[in-house]
Amino acid sequence: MKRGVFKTKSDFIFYLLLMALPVVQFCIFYIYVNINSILMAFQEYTLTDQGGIFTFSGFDNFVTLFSGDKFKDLLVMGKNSFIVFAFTFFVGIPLALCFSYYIYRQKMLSNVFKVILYLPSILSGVVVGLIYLYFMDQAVPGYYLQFTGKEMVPPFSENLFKFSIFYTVFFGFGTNVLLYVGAMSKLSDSVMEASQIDGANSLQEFIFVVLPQIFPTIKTFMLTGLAGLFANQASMYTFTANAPRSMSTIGYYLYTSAKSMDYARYTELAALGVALSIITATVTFSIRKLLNKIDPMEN
Amino acid sequence: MKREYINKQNKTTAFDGVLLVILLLYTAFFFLLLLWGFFTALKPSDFTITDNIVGLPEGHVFQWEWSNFITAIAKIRAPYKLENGDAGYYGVGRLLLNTIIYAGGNAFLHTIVPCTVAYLCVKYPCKFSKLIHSLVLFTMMLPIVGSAPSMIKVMNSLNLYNTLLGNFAQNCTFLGLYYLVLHSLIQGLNKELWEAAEIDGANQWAIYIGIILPVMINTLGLVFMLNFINFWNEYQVALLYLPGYPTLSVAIYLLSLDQQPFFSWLPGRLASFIVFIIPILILFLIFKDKLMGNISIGGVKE
Repeated sequence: MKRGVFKTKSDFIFYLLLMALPVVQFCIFYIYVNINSILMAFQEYTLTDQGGIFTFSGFDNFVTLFSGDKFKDLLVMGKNSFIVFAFTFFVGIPLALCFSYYIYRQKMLSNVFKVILYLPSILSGVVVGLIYLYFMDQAVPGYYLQFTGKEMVPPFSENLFKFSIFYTVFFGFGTNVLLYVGAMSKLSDSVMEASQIDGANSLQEFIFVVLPQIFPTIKTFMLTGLAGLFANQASMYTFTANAPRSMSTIGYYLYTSAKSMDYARYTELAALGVALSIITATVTFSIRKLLNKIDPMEN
Repeated sequence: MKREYINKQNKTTAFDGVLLVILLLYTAFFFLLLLWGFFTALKPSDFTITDNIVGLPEGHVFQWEWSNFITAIAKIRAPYKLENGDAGYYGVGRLLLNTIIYAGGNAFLHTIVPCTVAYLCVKYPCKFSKLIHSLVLFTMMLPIVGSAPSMIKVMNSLNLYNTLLGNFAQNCTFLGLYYLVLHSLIQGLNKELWEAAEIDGANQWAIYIGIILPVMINTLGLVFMLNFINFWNEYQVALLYLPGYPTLSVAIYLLSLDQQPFFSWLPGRLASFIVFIIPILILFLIFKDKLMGNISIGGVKE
């Protein structure tokens, strides 16, 4: 450490004392936990007379995961995770940007919409999610019966995955909208006025002036969304703790499996986590390089 | 956000029109959900789904089942299981206490720890501080999948699993978006603030606690509130790591498994939901301007 940064010894002690706890916490709950996760991926859990023990088992967990029916299930859940990501990436982000632009330009009812878009991230996800579930499964068939006289099978259970995606995108604008509006509010007046003088309409201004200038903020959300690709449950656990594999995502599977408190499964989960982390890291860093290349502000 | 050019650019285009329609539909659907939930909560407890599922409760407004809200508060409960084998149900009083401790304690840590580390990194820009700053950015982008089993194993081995101390230790972290927000804010502070105090002979503790924290109190209050709301609503982490200290959010989630007749009926469950969101709704309505003020994450650009 450069002693020049610390004017006195008491400065250094102050720094050390305040930095100690967060750094120790980081070392235990981030570094050690993740190293332990990698180690568990190469272990198996065995019950003995003295209790359960973890022993080295080589690549057995990876072989089990990437062969047979388990692998087929993982492929289905992985596909579902990608579908959820695709909807949040290609539908959710563009919609959030459009809504943010509308609010930034203070168009009609923009203050109301700002509150409404933010409200789902303030209210309990359990409450909003379960009201949505009961509404879809009970009120919608009720309205259908009232208007058409025909009965309708409750749609939610049969279409859990589709309804989960809709819910995730529809109620997921929240803080993103505020951050995009915040980024837009920092745009240079002169650049915006210049586009107006050049005759750009609102759509042209949005695409050719606003989006390029807030691209760093968009890039951050894209990359953090990509990093969470396999952690995203699409709010499914809110709706059910027993979703079929065909409708689950990897994130849902990981959480429900961890919650089972079955140590015998933990080593396989650790192996799955390691494999997926490597895949996601590779994809995230590659996409980051690509986004940096096309970033209008960097070029 | 008032800019002269916005006033000039005020004519509504087709693009604005399309966005307005989508936003109106969004608003209508969202309000329809909440209003349906609210009015269904006011229907009789022996209400069945074929009987007026979509309309208003029957009778005069004073004849609606407002007592459902009181009954929901009285009957809500959640199972707990401690490491010493104790198990049972907690009622609303204990659930509320658990929630306040869980949300308040974790919100405080999630605010003060990033703030402290951000201040240290700005005030003392040594190599270690730069490493810490890079770690925050790096961990935001680095995907770690499936570490929950390892976390449970580590916490068990440290005798921290299913303890409030363990939960607070988990959340005593500087990683995350709020570090960047606070780092950006502290960078923007006038350095003369603490330089003048140093000249006057104040030690670093006095400067941090007596000058820096008070100057940042508005933003810290906002960050605390956002964290508090997040932890108040959060249930999955509590379910996984704190089965012995269920919160109100956990109780709400587990209502579908509750065998009490009141919660097997839709109005009973919905009444519990409405009661649960009222405190946060009130908090939001009072502080909505601050909560939705411009948040910036300066320093994210590398």
